[in-house]
Amino acid sequence: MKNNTSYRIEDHKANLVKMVERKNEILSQLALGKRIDNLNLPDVEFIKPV
Amino acid sequence: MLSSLNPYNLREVKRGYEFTTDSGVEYEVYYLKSNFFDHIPEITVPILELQLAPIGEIPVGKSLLDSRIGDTVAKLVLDTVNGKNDVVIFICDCKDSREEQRWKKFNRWFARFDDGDVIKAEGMINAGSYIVYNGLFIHKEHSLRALVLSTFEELNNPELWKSPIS
Repeated sequence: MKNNTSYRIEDHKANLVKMVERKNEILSQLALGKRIDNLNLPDVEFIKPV
Repeated sequence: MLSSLNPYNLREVKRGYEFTTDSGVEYEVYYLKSNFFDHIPEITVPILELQLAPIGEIPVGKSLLDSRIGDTVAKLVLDTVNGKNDVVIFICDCKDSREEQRWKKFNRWFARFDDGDVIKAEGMINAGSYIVYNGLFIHKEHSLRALVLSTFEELNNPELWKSPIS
């Protein structure tokens, strides 16, 4: 590794898959006319920067 | 430059923001807590995943060629990153094989707004059945700038992606 981080590439791949699947799921729901405030996504944390 | 932007006014909702274009199309723009660096314990700052989507189907005849959409997103991202703590990441959705077009549009939005304070990094991951275009924004004075950028580059290294995702 070029820097001092330590991780398994499998973890990164799993995270990436999760991100892609989550994004596609949200977009599919929004395409149906739902709004983000009404989506039922218990595992998703929305962040609003201060 | 930020001053040259002509963004739409954002309406705040509980989880993010909404805006309506001149042609009447409604969009939602929001951040999710990103998993991108979850496995890197050294990266301890918030990583925000930017998402933008129209609400519902876009009516036939409504133009998507509206530079103010890009201005609106660019201003939100630059305002966020200029706080010097948050890092913003963006991945193109790839459910309809139009990710490359989205990526080009995304880059056009930000190409003319380089204010010198925000660094934009770009990556492309060939994950086998799809390609994940991804970008990252970080302030040049961010305390973890070097680590975040080098890790981002490392995670986009094609050598890492030679074996397929299981």
